[in-house]
Amino acid sequence: MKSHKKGFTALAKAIYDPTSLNSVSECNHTCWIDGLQKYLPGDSYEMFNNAASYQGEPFRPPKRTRARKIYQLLSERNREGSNGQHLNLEFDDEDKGGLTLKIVPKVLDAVCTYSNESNNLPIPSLSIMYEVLRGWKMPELFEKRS
Amino acid sequence: MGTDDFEGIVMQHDDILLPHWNEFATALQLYQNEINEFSIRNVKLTDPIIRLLTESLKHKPIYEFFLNNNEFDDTEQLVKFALEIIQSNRQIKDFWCSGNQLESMDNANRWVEAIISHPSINKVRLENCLRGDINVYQILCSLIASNKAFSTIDLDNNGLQTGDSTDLPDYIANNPPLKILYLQKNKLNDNDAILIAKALKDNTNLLEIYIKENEITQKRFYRTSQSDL
Repeated sequence: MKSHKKGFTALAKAIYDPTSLNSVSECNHTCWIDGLQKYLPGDSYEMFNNAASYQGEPFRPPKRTRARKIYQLLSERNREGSNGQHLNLEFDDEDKGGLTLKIVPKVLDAVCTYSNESNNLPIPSLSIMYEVLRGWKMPELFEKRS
Repeated sequence: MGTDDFEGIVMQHDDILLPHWNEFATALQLYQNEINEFSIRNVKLTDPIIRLLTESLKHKPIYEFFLNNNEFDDTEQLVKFALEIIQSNRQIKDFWCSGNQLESMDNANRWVEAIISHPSINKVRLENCLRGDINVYQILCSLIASNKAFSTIDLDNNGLQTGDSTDLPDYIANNPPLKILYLQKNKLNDNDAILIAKALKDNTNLLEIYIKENEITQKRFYRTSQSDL
């Protein structure tokens, strides 16, 4: 684990920390750090980095960069088919009185919203939507419905 | 930026060129409009040239004043020339010196004091000019502790090391107006990078950090091949 805290890795995690949806959300979404190409996933470097113009004006609003990063994490999890498992882990601790069930439509909506933030999606939003629908809270949703 | 961009053959002094310098200085004096950028690159500046330029550049509305990769007969000429221009031109926003060594802490402090007390400078770029006996970290601390609203600080290629002090990460965490920070080609280490990374959580103003070619460990966290996508 120590190596995960080495210099450039620490800087990369300040920009994109894929430990959880919350950790991604809490990252810095305004700063561009030169030289992080090797430390961020795939071709996401330019998309994550909120590259400033020469005059020091942001290239895109931090909110859009944050959305793009969250979509990146959902895409990475989709490749290994683990979105359902991760969502269970990340939401179940806070689940009181079926609150998580109410969040399900919002998560599905977020997948679509975040997919609108980039033209070159690593994974189509429909794939993530399908995976989440298949693997997260479906039995509970149907139970509740009946 | 990168000092290397301007490295090259420095034009040496030749008395035969003095009439041309004279003509140039006269034209400058007659020119009454704003000067967006005045930069002197790859030129040896001797006493007669410095005198001509100083007289014609004083009290001019210059916004960017650059000295890149010049030569001087002694460092005091460089220090005094820049000080006179900075102190007599209140509109300068961007002061950039690269490849001209200040050689002593006293010289560096004189410049830093002039920059801090200047009413308009918000971009300070001192690349590859603080080597030798200069405590670069102290210079950085003087700049960031001044509470001046810098938009750019550039200390590339100066051998900067922090000794694990936290002034820089503390400054970043306080979310100052600083937008661009150049610290390439220095001696920052993993601990510095980790502290800066933590500080970035509380910063929403910094837009660009340049930190390559330091002593920061380059251990990959992600693989980069397309098959990972």
